Amino acid sequence: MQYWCDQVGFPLICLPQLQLDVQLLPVTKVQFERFLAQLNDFGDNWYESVLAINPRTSWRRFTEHDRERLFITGILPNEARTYAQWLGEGFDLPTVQEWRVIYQAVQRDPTFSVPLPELADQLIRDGNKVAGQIVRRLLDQLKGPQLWLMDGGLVEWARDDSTGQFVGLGSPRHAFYPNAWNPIADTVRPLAAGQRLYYFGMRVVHKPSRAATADSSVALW
Amino acid sequence: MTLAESVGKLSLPEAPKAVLILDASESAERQQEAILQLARGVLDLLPAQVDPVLYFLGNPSPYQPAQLSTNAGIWFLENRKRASLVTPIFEQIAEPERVRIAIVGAGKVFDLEDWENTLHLQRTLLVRLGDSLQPRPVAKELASPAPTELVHWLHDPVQHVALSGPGFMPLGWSNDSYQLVRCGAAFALVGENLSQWPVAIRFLADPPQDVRAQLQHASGTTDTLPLQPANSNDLPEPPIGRLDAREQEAFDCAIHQQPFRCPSCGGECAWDLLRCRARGGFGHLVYPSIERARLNGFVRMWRGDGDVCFRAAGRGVLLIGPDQVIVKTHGARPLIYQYSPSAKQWQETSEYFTQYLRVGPDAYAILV
Repeated sequence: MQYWCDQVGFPLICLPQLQLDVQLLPVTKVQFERFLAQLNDFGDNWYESVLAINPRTSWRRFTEHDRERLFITGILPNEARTYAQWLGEGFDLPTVQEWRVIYQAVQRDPTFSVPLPELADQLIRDGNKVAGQIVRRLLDQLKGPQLWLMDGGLVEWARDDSTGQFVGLGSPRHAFYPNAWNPIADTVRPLAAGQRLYYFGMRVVHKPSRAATADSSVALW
Repeated sequence: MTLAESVGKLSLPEAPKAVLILDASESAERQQEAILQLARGVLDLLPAQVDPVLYFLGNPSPYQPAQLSTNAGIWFLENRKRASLVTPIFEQIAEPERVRIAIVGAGKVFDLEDWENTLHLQRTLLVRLGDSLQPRPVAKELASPAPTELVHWLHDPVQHVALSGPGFMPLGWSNDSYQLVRCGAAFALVGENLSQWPVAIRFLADPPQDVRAQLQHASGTTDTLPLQPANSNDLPEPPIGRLDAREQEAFDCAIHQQPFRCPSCGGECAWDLLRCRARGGFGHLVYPSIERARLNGFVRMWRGDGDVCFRAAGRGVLLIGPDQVIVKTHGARPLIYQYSPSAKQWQETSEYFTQYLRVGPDAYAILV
């Protein structure tokens, strides 16, 4: 397995068979705050409104009970895409098809034949301390495919190629949002456009120009 | 443990760097004028030698404090749309133990909790001019303080240093601005409002490693520092002088308690007279060589290689035995103290110092 880190130091796992790289975890608030510290249209007022529906918790001490507070939620698709574009060329939200292929691949081999604790250690050694600590802490709470939080995490924005619209995929745990969704069969839509839902988050994929990223990725094993 | 002689030195840490972080975000927009006024007041009051660093929340790039008054409008506007985040700035501060930080603003600083229990936040004072800066209490916070209160936080110089410890008795020190002080049954070496604080010191203590320097800051807060190891270069031996032939004759008479002819004025002096007033005024030392050497305090004199030599032996303390000293504090006559190991204290004896006190084979001490 190979991985590399985005500009805020969070890992993307390389999936050559899918010809894309995907973030190991949904986007966290601490990641998103790097974007909020830039000059853009997202200031204190916007962030207050987002935090009002899913408050923040610190990456240093989140627990099994409040781990969803670690992630940015309540954002709208256009806001999520603005963030993805800020990350750089090739970053975007996944399509529904991409999301589901990733999901199925994770179910088959969640570690991609690799012990994830090594990834956490490597992240910390490489100076990506926040991401490394988050992965370590999550590994204390979650096993196997659960760590990716595609199941038992959030509902994540994805683009439906057939309609061009954005829909939600994923199945949060019941304690966070009671549901019976099957991500392979179901898509989730807010009742109204512009409605901020506390269980809607995001995960970013990168469609690499292989020549550009091959050199910067790290082979863990 | 027993009393032991040791040398050490005290170096005060560099004064912390003052970091002022202003909140220009949307949540503090209504307080912009108050934030600016307070910042200006603080920057005006900070002494010239303090070189503060100015930041705006969310922005890791420092600004020039001297240009705040002229550029405030532009700077606040260009940082308005950044979220109230402190991480981008704290990440620039690699040595948090060397800074004092103040964040002046209104409304939540969203990521403060990520720094809970870190040195960064322990060195940070939150200043609210509107709503609280912290979603939950994780740092010290003041509401609408006066600029002077904030200056005391950002620049809190040391004003008083006292070196002391069990059985502590300083025998010699390199910085003459420090004074020997008796505090009850203990002794301390004290400096107040000095321009130069470093000092090397030779001392007795029981045990030497327990000697500490207590630092008192302008705000009233205190710190304690251990002494660092010192070597002979830090506290060089004073130079040796020699008496001339007439002075040596006088010395030989004096140690046998016989009157002598003053080497300076030629008049007859009592054996224990050190300052001859035959020429009026405050008088002059009967040993011009010692006067020229500008010695002050105890002087040790001894015969070596046929000549009588002398050397400064301590401004206020003279060691006369393994556990016995003579102490001369300001305005008091010299007293002899004996160390009590059980009490770990120096106890005053009934003996007094007299000139030409014998302190070794053919060695004597005078107090000038």
